[in-house]
Amino acid sequence: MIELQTRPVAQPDTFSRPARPAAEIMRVSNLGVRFATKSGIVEVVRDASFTLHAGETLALVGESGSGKSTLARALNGQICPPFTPVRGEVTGRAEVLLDRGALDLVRADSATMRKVRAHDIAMISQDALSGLNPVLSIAWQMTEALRVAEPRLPKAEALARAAALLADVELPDPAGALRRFPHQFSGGQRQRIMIAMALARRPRVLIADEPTTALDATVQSQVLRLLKRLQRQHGMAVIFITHDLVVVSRIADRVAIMYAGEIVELTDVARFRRAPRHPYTAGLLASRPGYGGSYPPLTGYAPSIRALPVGCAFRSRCPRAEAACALPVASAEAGRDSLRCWRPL
Amino acid sequence: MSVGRGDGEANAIRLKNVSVTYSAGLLARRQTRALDDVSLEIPRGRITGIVGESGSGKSTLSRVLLGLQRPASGSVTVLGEDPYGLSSGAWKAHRRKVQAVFQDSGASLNPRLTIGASVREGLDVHRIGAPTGRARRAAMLLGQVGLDEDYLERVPLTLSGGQRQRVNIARALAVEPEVLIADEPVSALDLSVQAQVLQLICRLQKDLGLTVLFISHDLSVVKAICDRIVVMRRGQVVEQGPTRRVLEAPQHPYTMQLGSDLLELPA
Amino acid sequence: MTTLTLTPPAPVRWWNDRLALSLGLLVLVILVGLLAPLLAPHDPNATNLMSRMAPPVWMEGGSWTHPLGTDQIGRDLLSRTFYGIRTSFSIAAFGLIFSAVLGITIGVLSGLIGGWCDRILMMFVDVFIALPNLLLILCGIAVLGTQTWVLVVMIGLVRWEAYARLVRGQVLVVRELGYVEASRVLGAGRRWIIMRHVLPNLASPLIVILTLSFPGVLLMESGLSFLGVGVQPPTSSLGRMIGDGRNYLINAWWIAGIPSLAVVIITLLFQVAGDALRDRLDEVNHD
Repeated sequence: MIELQTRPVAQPDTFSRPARPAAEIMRVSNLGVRFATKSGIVEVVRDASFTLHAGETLALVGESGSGKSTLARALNGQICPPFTPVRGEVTGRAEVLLDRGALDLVRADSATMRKVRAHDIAMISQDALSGLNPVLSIAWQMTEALRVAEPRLPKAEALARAAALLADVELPDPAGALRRFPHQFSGGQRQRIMIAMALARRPRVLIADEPTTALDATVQSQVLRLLKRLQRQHGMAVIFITHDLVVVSRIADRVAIMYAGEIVELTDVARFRRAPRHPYTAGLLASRPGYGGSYPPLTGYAPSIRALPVGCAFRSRCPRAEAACALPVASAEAGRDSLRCWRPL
Repeated sequence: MSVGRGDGEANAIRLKNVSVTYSAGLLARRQTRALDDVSLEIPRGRITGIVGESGSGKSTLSRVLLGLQRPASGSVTVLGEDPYGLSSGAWKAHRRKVQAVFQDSGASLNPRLTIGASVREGLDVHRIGAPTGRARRAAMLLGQVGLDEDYLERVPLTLSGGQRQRVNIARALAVEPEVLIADEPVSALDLSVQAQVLQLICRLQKDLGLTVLFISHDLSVVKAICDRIVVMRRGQVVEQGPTRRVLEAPQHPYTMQLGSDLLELPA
Repeated sequence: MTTLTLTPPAPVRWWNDRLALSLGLLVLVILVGLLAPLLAPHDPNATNLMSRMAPPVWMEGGSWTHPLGTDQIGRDLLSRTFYGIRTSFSIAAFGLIFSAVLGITIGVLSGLIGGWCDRILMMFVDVFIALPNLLLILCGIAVLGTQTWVLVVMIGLVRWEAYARLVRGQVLVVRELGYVEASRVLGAGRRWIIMRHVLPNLASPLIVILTLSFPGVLLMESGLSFLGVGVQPPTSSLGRMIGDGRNYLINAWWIAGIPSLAVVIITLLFQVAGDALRDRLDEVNHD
């Protein structure tokens, strides 16, 4: 069970002075997410570990059902949202290292998590329309976002700040946009507004869950350019969830490849492109349309997360699999990189 | 067979000045042009890609070709016949020759029917073969798209997106069409599965000599599998030609922009 | 500290399962109605002036001869309740079937053909909704008489527009679904699409709404009989029995109380079953 903490935020045992290099902003170790379902307990994320530095973009790459969105939701404290019947549980540690100290997101109570979401971690989702309330003006929603972080902000100043934020995300006519409603914007514009609302909190970490997947190619590259610029300006760390390898190569510094709930390879983007070590990563790259290399593209389908085999979950599709792959495979770490494979390339 | 369709005809599909308008709006009924004076020719036995962003009219185009959306003006010729000028008997026969696979692999299958029943629906509709023969043929068709016989008795809910799309392809092939219209068939699929389904479409196209119309917003996919491409924007065809020519020497500024957004991983 | 406490939910046992329980009890009630001639200890219409207003067996002066007592002219209440269930249930059931067939037919036609046909049919539905139900039934009975079939038709006329609307809406939704489009592309005609795709899809919402509206129909029959324009004496229906007993509420509450209790229990069972059915079917559809 997740222990509920009723103590105030600044208690010394909740926060400790960061003893790590200042650049590190998040350290996730052995994170797991499990849900209780009718057919038993399902471990959607298992033993995920990575570190994130300020100003860095980590891409979480995986196919549907690989657990990448669940991992992101766990970091944002959204595994057991109130008023839903879902019973889930997060294990392991996910420390976020803030100026005011280190905080374990796994053990933080819901009041602390609300504060974290108001100031430190923002999230934008794939579906920008569902993130905006259709009956409220953009001004209303932007000032609300600003006041979550600063409840005593005067209205006039909040409006001015909102307009400035909209200008920052390159929305044409920011003052006019404030008076309008979500349906009056295109998909790309709505995603810009969502980004502006996320930036209103000046977050240290931005979690972006497939923010450009629903957009057309031209708009998609505009939004990616925008995110990259804003990240540089604000020094944010970004966790970018996507299944699109082209997007990964454009935006990411580091890449975590997820397969069947595990991070199978964690490396930097150049190495990911040129010298992937996990057979799944290599197969994924070879599956791109127009791939010219010699590695065989992926065949078959990912196993159901409800019926995972013992040992490497990828071995049934792996051209390099051998008998040893049926043994449980641990993550081998080298510096900031990690690899979970018996027969790496 | 109707007039004008010799076997030497090089084009499977010909559109001339086709326009489609929708009216929308609560009080002021605005007219929206989904297709604006579109003329194009699709050669037989090739894969032709139709590229465009959302709202470019590419899906309306596929509905026009499938006889589901009567154009406001212009002439449509599919395999030498006008789908909107056929008697109901001829219409049914025409339908066998033009089949489609849609983007949403799940919605395209009735959740209450078994995979076997879905695959043989076309055989049942057109009363092709004896009922026992149809069951055998359904199993064979599944084999052709890489699924084994065990799938016959399963229901769509238990299949993954890629498997469902294979079933949709098998169902379309059951009636032995000459033209296959694939409307974003892989955009909702995972990358590894996309590659498999694309390979399947290419292989079937070659084996069966199909004319494939491949509609997509993803230029990299189109570039990989299509012989020709048609670029659409705001209901109009802005450019068409052999894939290599259009991508390497684009004539229209919009195609140039599309090409510049086509980013690839460095090898 | 994180300890592992997650346990999978326990499987549902049948006695905890609202659906199985309520459907089981409903089958029991229907059996009682069907087998009334075998189960009833007395002739429901046989009067016995020697034992008028006998109380139920558990009250002072009650006896096992009449376990639920007798009414003001000495008819056995247990037998009359059994027969009352039989009458009320069958009138309500036939009324419901009548309205369902009418509503489904009009809804399917309206949704599938569309255009002018749709507009005229829906206008008809709107007019029907605007008419006060009770007044309509009373007029119908005044003109056509009080035979049972008139009652069935009149009760049937009350709810059909709700089914027509539901069916039309569903048809419009299903018509646009991917697999109906795919079927049309395969060359399927209208009849094929209705039989193969549209009607099977209507089944689950219809079962739910029919189950949920059964109590309303039953109450309508009871209400009409209570008012004296429904089932005519000496036939016993639950509403008729309540109407007969209302003058004796002070001295012999059981005459009206026992059929009332039967109405309440049957209504409740249907509501619970309908509710559980909806949850179950939603679950199947959205798993």
